[in-house]
Amino acid sequence: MNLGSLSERLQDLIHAPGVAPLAFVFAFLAGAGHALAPGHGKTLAAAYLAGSRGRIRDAAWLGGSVAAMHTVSVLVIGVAWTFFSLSELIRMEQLTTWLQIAAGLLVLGTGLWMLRRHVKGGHAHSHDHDHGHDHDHDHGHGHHHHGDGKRPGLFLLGISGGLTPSPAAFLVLATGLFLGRAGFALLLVLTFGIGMAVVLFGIGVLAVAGSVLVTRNARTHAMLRLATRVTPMLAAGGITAFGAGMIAVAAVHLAAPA
Amino acid sequence: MSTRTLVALAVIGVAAGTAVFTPRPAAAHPFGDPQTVVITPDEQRSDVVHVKWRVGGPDDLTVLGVSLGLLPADRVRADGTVDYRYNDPGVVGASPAFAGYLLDRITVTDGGRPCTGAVEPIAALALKGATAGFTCPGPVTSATVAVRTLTDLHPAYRTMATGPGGQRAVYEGANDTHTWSLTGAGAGLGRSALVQIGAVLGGVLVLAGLVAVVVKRRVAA
Repeated sequence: MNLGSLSERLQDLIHAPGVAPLAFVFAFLAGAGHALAPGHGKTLAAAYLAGSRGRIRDAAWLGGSVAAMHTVSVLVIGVAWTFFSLSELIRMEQLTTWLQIAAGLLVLGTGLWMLRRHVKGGHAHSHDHDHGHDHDHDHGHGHHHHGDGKRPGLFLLGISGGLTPSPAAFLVLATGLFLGRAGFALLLVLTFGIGMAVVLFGIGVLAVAGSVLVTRNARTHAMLRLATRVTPMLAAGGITAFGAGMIAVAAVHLAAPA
Repeated sequence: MSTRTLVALAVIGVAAGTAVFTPRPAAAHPFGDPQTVVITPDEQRSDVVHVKWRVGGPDDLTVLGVSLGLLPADRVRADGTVDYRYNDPGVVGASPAFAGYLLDRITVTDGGRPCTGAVEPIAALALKGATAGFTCPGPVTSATVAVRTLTDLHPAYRTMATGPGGQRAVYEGANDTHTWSLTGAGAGLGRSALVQIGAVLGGVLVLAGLVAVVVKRRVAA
């Protein structure tokens, strides 16, 4: 795989004279490649969207919140590291492990919330009224009753996916800050985040399409009917387990001598 | 219908299955601080320059120790992961081979005249780093410092360097030499960074506002 070399190239881009358009193409590809690497909540996103029978718009929200959170986290950590001697306070690997614990807690919380909703509400046919204007205008093939209260969970998953910055993006920003090219570096980090978002959005769309197909055919197939009933519980359980796993792995890391 | 159904089932099955069976953290790769050096003039002697070097992630010191022959080679596994132990920095820091490496990879010259380096006693190498003092032939006002540490292990290594008065530079494979003013002429990078970041964030906000307005108009229409 040349994903590694792509993110190494990303560091070199900061030297490109002016604001080079090619640099943005590379940053986008590096972000997409980064999102394809293990982790980063792709499976979580897919499970969530399939489990809560999401819409395309939900997938877009998910990708968008990952990109926004990732950019914010790189910016905050990069500036703190460069100008406020963050490294005197805490070693980076410790900081990122704590961020992973926070991300794990968010995922665990989302999973538990989904489980509770399914256990409590039986099948998700309740209607909610919290976001006034957005369900009047999109028509999800007659599946209106499924659009209930997905945003909070999606947001939490998106934030958890972008909480831990990628090393390549952090290095690009730090290099830019050291060289006096902070603006260009931040634009590259932003583009990197958009690359990540596009991949996650694509995976979300696949999950949505898959679950819509299943729901549509559920009336005629007994097995699919079973699938539609089991998937939400399976997804909620999976997300809960994943969150617990993330916390456990990070805690072991933290306990290990460094 | 049956193929579409199969595809749909496969998508959901894979999604749920992977979510259940692979609890993997978001970042499997170690994420450490970048390698840093700090250049400071000696307060008492105008002919001495100090260079403090600090490693990045804890695994970098172990990899360096292996390459210097101080640690067993099997610490770096075939898949590239590093089995680092908490006493590795102590082993590396205590060795004269490491001091030699440092003085070989970090050099200081004053207008072409080389300065003689000596590594100061090392305590807590991983946490505090190592400092070398370079004595030049005469009083120095600007020093040319070359840093080539760790790039022999992997060319992608970068060194973030800080000098007197807020000067900053980045050392990398092709760009390993930088001249520092020791009298402390600040470059005002902090303010410039603030302005640039502010401009980018402002631009993004304006863009987001425009998109929101367009979307609202389309929804209203």
